[in-house]
Amino acid sequence: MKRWVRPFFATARLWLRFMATDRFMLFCVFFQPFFIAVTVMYMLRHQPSFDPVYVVVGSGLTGIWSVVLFDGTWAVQSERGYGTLELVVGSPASMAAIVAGKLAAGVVFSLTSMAFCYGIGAWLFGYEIAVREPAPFLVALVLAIVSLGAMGVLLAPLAILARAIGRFFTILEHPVYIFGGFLFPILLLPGWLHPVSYALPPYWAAVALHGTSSGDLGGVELLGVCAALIGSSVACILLALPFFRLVERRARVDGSLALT
Amino acid sequence: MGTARLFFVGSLFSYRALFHWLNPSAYLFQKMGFPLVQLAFFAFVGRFGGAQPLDFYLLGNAMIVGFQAMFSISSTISDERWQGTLPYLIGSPANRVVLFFGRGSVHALDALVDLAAAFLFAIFLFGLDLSHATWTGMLLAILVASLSSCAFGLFLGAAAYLVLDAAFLGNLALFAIVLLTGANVPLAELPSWAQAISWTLPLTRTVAAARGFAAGGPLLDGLPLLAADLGVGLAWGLAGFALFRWLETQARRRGTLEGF
Repeated sequence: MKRWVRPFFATARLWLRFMATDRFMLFCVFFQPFFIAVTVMYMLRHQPSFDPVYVVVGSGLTGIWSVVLFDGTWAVQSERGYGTLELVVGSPASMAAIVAGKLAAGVVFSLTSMAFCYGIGAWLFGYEIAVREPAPFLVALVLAIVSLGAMGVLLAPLAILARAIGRFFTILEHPVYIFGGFLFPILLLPGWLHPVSYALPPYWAAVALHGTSSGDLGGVELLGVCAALIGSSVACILLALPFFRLVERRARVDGSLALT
Repeated sequence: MGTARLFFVGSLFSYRALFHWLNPSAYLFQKMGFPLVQLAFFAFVGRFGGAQPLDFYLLGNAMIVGFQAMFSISSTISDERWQGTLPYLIGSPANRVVLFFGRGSVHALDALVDLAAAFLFAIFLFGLDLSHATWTGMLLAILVASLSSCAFGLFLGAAAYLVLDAAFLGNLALFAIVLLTGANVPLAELPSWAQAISWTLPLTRTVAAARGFAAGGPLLDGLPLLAADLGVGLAWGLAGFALFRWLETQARRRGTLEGF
């Protein structure tokens, strides 16, 4: 247990400090959601049923996802850049715990984007923004960030095992905004693409957060979405573990980690 | 002859070596994938909002795809520091005008490829209707979009020496272009101070001209707009060169080449 908990919190503390001074991460958390929120506010505000909380939640999700994506991709790759990857893998601490600590710091940090987007809607546009179901929204928010973080844990070892995959991840930002239905319903997508959305934890995170913030989701439906979020988180972690073992094997047995 | 050689060799190598892609998959994913999925994202949001016809968003976002070249150029200039080649560049006797503007030439051609891909994507995947378009005008608009984006990139590259982060500056410029050039939000809807910023950006008039050409408007109506955007682009490029020369002078005077 000590092999997991202590490295997890130590890494999370250190990574939080690193992110708070990293210009690109600050961009992802503050500037990008700002521009997306303002642009989308202008694009959607003429709808008869326009609800500003939809834009606030959706734009906040874009900030959270961007941090998870880039943090997940760089969580291990950055160690290679610093020349510390072999040291991390060679230490007795679990590598998955170190990556999870980094991602936990990332998602906690990225939550500020949601608060920032609230400020844009309320102060810049003067909208009255209210979350209809605050308690279920908080539960949904916790489950959403856990599931997005779990997806980051899955991306991290894949990005280090194959550089080509790592490059591909960097363009996954907008596709997940699209398939996750962050700022428009996925019903606008062709029907044959809907299963892609259903397979993505960000989609269920968006359903849970949009549904609880607007008050349209409750009871059994909410439980079902929460179950999907928990299930997808567990699936991501279980899928990630063999890849972490492969990373460790390449470092310890093959000695080829820096070459992949 | 030596100047022409410096221009072509410098531009080609800045494109090949400093942009970090050495194989076609990286090019396709990073260079072309990102603008296309961003186009799709804003097209879907626009369709959901319904404030303007879908073609408004498709055309606007296809025209601003030239921003990718802006990103690339700003990176190739600012990356001289990170690659450790800045002192050699400053110490070389090469003509500075050729050296600086040569950095953008291949990227300008590359931007044309990006813009062509964006239009093919918008026409065949989303059904952008250009059946009544004035094609000469459209082609001229695409050419001006690529040139003025590259000129803006030259300025950002020089400015990145001051703020130390080209990615941050490039992303900031990208989202300003998405919001303020009229690609997604009609300029009349923006506050007057934001409109004032819009007219200083390199793509605003080109987007407006392209909308006229796409609707079958006469070539002569759009030419003044394109000429004005060429002027804006030229002003940004010259401002970038002036900033580069000023920083170079300061770096020589103080002996702080890496601090440049």
